[in-house]
Amino acid sequence: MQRTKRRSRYHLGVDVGGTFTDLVLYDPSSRKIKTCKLLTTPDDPSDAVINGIAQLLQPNGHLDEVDLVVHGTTLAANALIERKGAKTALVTTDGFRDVLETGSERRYELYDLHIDYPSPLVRRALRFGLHERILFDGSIWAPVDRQALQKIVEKITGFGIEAVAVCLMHSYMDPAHEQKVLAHLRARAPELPVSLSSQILPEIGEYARVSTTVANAYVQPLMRRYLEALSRRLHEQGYRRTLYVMASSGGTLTAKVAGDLPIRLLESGPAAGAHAVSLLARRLNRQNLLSFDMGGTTAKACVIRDGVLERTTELEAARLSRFKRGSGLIIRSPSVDIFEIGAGGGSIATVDAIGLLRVGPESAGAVPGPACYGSGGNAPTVTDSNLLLGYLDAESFLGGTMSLDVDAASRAIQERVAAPLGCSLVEAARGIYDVINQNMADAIAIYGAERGIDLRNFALVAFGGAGPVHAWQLAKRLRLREIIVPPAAGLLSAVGCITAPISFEFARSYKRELEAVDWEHVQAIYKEMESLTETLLREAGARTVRMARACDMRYRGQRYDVTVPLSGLKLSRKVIPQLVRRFKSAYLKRYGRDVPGVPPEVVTWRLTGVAGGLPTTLPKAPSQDRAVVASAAAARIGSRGVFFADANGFVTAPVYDRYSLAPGALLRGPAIIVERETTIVIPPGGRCHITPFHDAIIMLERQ
Amino acid sequence: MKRVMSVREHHGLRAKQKRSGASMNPIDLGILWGRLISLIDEATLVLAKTAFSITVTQVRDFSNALFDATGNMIGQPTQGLPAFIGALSTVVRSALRYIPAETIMPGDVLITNDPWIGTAQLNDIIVITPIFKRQRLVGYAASVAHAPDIGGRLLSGDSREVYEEGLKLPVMKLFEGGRVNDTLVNMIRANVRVPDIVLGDIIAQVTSDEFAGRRLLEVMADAGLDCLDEISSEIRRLSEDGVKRRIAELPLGTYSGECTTDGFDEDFLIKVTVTISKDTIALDFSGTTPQCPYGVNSTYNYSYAEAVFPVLCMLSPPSPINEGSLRPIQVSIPEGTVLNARFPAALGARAMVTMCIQSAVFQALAAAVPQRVLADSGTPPWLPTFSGVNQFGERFAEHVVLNGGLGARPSKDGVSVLSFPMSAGGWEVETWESEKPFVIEKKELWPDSAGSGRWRGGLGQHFRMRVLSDGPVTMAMRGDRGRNPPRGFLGGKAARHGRALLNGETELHLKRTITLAPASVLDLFLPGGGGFFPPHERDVALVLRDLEDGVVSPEAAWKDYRVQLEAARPDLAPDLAADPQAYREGRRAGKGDDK
Repeated sequence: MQRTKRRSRYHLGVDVGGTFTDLVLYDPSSRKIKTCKLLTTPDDPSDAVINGIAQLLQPNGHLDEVDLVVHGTTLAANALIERKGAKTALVTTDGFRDVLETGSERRYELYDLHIDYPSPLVRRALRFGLHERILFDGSIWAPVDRQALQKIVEKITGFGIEAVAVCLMHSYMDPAHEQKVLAHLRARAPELPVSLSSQILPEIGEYARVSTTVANAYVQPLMRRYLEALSRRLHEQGYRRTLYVMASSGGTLTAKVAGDLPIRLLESGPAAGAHAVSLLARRLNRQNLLSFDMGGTTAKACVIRDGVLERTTELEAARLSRFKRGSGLIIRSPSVDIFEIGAGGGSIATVDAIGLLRVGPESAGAVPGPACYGSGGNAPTVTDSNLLLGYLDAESFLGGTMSLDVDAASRAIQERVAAPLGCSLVEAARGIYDVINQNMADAIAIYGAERGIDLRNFALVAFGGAGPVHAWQLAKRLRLREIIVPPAAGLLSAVGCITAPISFEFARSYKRELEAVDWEHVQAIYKEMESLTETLLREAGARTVRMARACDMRYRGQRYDVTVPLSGLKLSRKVIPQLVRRFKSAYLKRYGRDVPGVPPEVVTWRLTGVAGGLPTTLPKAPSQDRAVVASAAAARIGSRGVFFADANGFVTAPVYDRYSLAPGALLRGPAIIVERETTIVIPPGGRCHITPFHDAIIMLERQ
Repeated sequence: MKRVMSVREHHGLRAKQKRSGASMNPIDLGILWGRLISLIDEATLVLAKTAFSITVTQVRDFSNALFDATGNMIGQPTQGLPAFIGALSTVVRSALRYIPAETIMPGDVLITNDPWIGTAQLNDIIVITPIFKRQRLVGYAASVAHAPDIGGRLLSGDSREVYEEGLKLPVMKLFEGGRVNDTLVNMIRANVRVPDIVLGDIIAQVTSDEFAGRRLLEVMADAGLDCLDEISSEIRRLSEDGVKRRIAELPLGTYSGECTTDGFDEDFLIKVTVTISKDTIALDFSGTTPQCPYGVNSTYNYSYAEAVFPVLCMLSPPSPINEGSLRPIQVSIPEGTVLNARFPAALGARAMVTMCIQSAVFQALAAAVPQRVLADSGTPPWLPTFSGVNQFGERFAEHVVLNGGLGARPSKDGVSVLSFPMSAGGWEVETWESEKPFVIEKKELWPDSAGSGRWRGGLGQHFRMRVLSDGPVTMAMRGDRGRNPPRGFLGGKAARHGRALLNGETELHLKRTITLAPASVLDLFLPGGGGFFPPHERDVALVLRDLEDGVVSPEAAWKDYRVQLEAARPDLAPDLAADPQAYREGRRAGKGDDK
C-alpha cells in the first residue's frame, strides 16, 4: 500500500442526534480535541456533518489530514419510532406468515384490558408464505416451490416494495432456501435490498429472528442511502479511508457492513456515550456509575456496575408504553443495555384534556426547534423553560454562535401553558422543569429496579447538551449525592466515537457435550474466524490485533447460556476439566446454585478481535488557548438570576467559564458553569471541585 | 402550581403514604417497595433462564412470589401468571399447617403439588424456601411452575379421580439443612416420564427462590431492617386502601353474569352474582354446575384467583398486587361445584373451565361499568399434551400452549392470538420441532374466527401439526369453546367456535385422550374474541383493511358489514355480493396504501 508523505493527523468523531450534530476532532499526538455542535439537518443529516467539518478544519485544514472518521447515529432507531422506514415485504415459510403477530402471546401489562401492541412493520397483505420446508436438522422436508416463488417475486416487484425480508423456518441450519429466494429476487430486481434471516440472526427461534430481520430490512434503504451519501461527501472533501459507524455494542463497523446490518446501529449514538463513560470510570477508578445523557430529543441512561458496562442482546425498539418491557419491537443484537425515554431539551409541553401539564415525548427537534431558537417553532419546550429560569443564557448558547429569543420563549409558555393552567409564567416554566425531571427520574428508577440495582450508591455522570442542566434535579429525585461532568460533556458521545475500539465479534454454533466435542473441528472454526478478523482489522488500519476467545455453555437441556472465557486454554480434550470448572464457577456466580448430575455442553464458540494501537483513553480537555487560572474567582465571567425552588425563587448566581477553571478549583452553589456546548447548574448547598482531568465533580447537600 | 402537583398525585401511593404516619418516610418506602418487586422480577428471570422445559423457559408457565414471616404475600412479579399469583397468596400459610414454622431450619426447602393447597393441578409444583437473616426466619420465597409431566395418565381431561393424574407430593422437605432429600428425589424421578427435565425445573425453582432470598437480605441490610413485619403490613394496608378507593368510585348494586362452556360431554354453566358495596366487591358463584366425574374441575384456591383477576382488571389498582389488594374482594364458591370440587375429583383440565370465569364476571360488570370490560375472549387456551418417543429415541412428554384472540374492547379491536386471562405463550416452533417428533405445518391467524362489531375481536389461530415419529404418539386433548363460541357484547357478534380435526376429516372430542398414528395430521382451530357494539357501526376503512389483509373473507365482510360497504364502495359490491372469488382474484392484496 502506498503511503502518503504527509502524515495524517486527526481522528474525527461525529454523533448525529435528533436535534444536534456533534463533532470532535482529535489530535492523537497532543491528545487534544476541538469541538463543534450544530443543529441537525433532518432532511439530509450529512449536511450538518459536512458543515461541522468545514467549521472544525478552518481555516486551511483538509479532510485528508483525517485518517479516521467514526460516526454515531440515531437514524435507525428514529426510523422505527417514527415508522419512516421502507415499504417492506416478508417472505416466510408457508403457514408462518403471521409470526410477527402471533409470536409473543404474553401480556406485558397483566391487568390492563386496553393493552396495545405495536403494529407489525409489514402488514399482512405484504407477507407471503412460500411452499418449502427445512427441518430442525437441516434436512429438506419440502423443496422450494419454484412456481410459487416466481409468483411471489412478481407480486413483490409489482407492488412498489422497497425492501424485502426473508425468514424461512430453520434457515439457521441451512440457508439454501433463503439463498434461492434471494437469487430469484436478484434476477428480477437486482437493486432491491434483501435481508436474509440466515445472515442477520442465524439463531434458533423464529419470532426473534423474523422480527429482527424485518426491522433490518425496514431501515436498510434509508440507512444505506445515508451512509453512502455521507461516505461520498467525506471523500469529496478529501477523506481517503473508510467511514466507520458505531454499533450498539460499543464497537465499530465499516459503513459497508453497517449498511448490510443496519439493525446493529439501533443504539449507535447512545453506545458511543456509554463507551466514553466506561473510559471515565476507568480513569476515575469508579465501580458504579449511572450514565445520564440528555440531548435535544431523548434522554438515555445506562449503568456501569462493579466496573462493568451492562450489556444485553435483547433489545426492544419503539416501545409503545413509555417504560414497559414487552411493548416494543423485539430485536436481537449485541448492545450496551441502554434505557431511552422521550425527554430532551426539545420536548414539548402541553396541557392535556383534563388540565394536567405533560412534557414530551414529542420533540420540536432541530426543525422547527424550541420557540427560543427563533426558527419558526412556537411550541413551548424544556429549553424554553430552562431559558426563562436562568439555567441557560440567551447570549452564550453554543458559545454565542446561536442567540436565544427570550420573548419567543415567554410567549410560547404564556400562551400554551401558563394561560390554560391559570398560573404565572415563572410557575409554568418551573412546572415544565419539574415534570420533565420527574419523568426522567421515574424512568431511571424503573430501569434500576428492573435490574435490581440500588442506584443510591451510584454517581451520576451527566452529559449531552441538556444533561448537566438537569443533573442536579435528577440526582435529588433519585437520592444520589454525586454528579460528575467530564470535559466536553456537551458532546461526549462524539468523544466516545473516537475512542471506541475497532472490533469485530464472530460466533459459530457447534453444540456438543464436552465429551463429544471434536476439538480439531473447534480449532478449524477458530482458525477461520481468526483469519477473517485479522483481515478485517488490518484493513481497518489496525497496527496490532488482539483476539479473545469465549464460549457459551449450559447444562445439557437448558435454553440459556453462560459465557465462559477460553483465555489461556489450548483447545483440546485435555481442557475439559478446566472448562467445566470455569463454567461451574461462572454459573454459580450468576445463579448461586448449580445443577447436579447433568453434563455441561458448549453451544456457541465466540471470538472478539480488537484493533490495537488506537487511542483507548479519553482525550484531554479541550483546553483552549486561553490561560488556565488558579482561583475560581478569576474564572468568573459574570452573574445572573437563576431559579431555585428551595430558595423560593430567583437568586443571583455567579457564572464561571469552564475551561478557565483550573484543576483544584472549588466552587459553592448556587453557581453556573458554562462551556460551549452545555451548562452545569450547581444548586445552593452544592459544592463543586475540578479534578486534574478537568472533570467537574459536584457533591449535593445531604438530604 | 396546584395542577402541576397533581401530576405527582397520579402516583396515588405517595400522596397516600404521607397521610399514613408510618415510621418509614414515603420516599424510602417507595424505594424499598420497588426493590422488593424488582427482586421478584429478577428471581423470575433466574427461573426462566435456569430451567429446562419449554413450558417454563419459553411459555413462562410459572410464577414467583415473596412472603413475610407469617406467610402474607407481599409481592408478585410484574409479569407472572395472574391465576398463580392469586392462588399462591394462601400457599405458605397452608403449607405451614403441615410443617410448622418452628420446625423449619436454615437450608430447608419445602415442596408440594397438593391441588387443594396449591393451584389445582398435580403438574403445578410449588417450592417454598424460607429466608433466614442470621438465625431468624424473616420471610419466604415461593415459586410455582408447571412440570411438563407428573406421571399417571398424561395431563388430560378424562381421568375420573386425581389418583389417576400422577404423583402427589404432600408438603415435604425437598432440602433439609441444605441437604437434598434423595429419597424424595428418587421417588419423583421414578414416577415421571421425563425425569431430567422435571428435576431440572425443580432445581431451577430452588435456585430462583434462593436468589430472591439473597437479594431480600441485601435489600434489608441496605434499609437497616431486621424483619419485614412492619413493611409488609404497611404495603398491604396501602394496597388495600388503594383498591378500596377504586371500588368506592363504582356504582353500588348487584349484577349477574354467566358463561356456558363445553364441560366434558355436557355443557357447564358458570354463574356469578357480583355485589358492589361501599368498599368491597363480593362474588358469589351459586348456581354453577356441580362437580363433574371427569377432570374438568378446579379447587377453590385456583378458582378464587381466576375470579379475582377480572375484578382487578376492571379496577386497575394503583399499586402492585399483594394480599392487601385482594382483601376487599370476597369470593364465595359452593363446595361440590366444578369450581370448588371435593377430593378426590380429577382436575387435569381445570383450566378449561376456570379460564372462562372472567367471561361471566365481565358480563356481570358490563352492566355496571361497560367501559371497563371486554367481550368474551377466545379462551381458554388449548393445551394438548403429547407423549411418545422422539427422534433421538428419548421419551418426551409436554403440552403446547395455543391461544385464541382477545375479546373486543369498548374502544378498540381485540388483540389477535393473545394469552388471556393467563399470560403464557411464545414458545418457538423451531425449538419444539428440534426436540419432539413433529413438523408444524401451520401456525397462522385463522381468518373470520373473530366476532364482528364496531370493534371486532382479535383473531384466533389455525395450527396444523404432523406426526413424524415411527411409533404412535399419545395426545391428551384439552380445549373448549367447541360448542359455545365466545360471545359478543352490547350488539357485537359472537366469534366462531373452535374445532379439532384428525387427518382433515375426523372431528375430535376436545377433552379426550387418543393415540395418533405415525403420519397423522392434527388441525386445531382456535376461536377469536367476540365483537363489541353492532357491526354496522364499524368504520368502513377498517373493514376494507381487514379484507385486504385477508383476516376477514369477502363473504363474511359482505354478511356483517354490507351497509357500510355498499355506501362507501359500490364498485366492490357486485364482486363481494355475487362472486367473492372474483374479488379475491381481481383485487390484489396490498394494493392499498401501506400505512
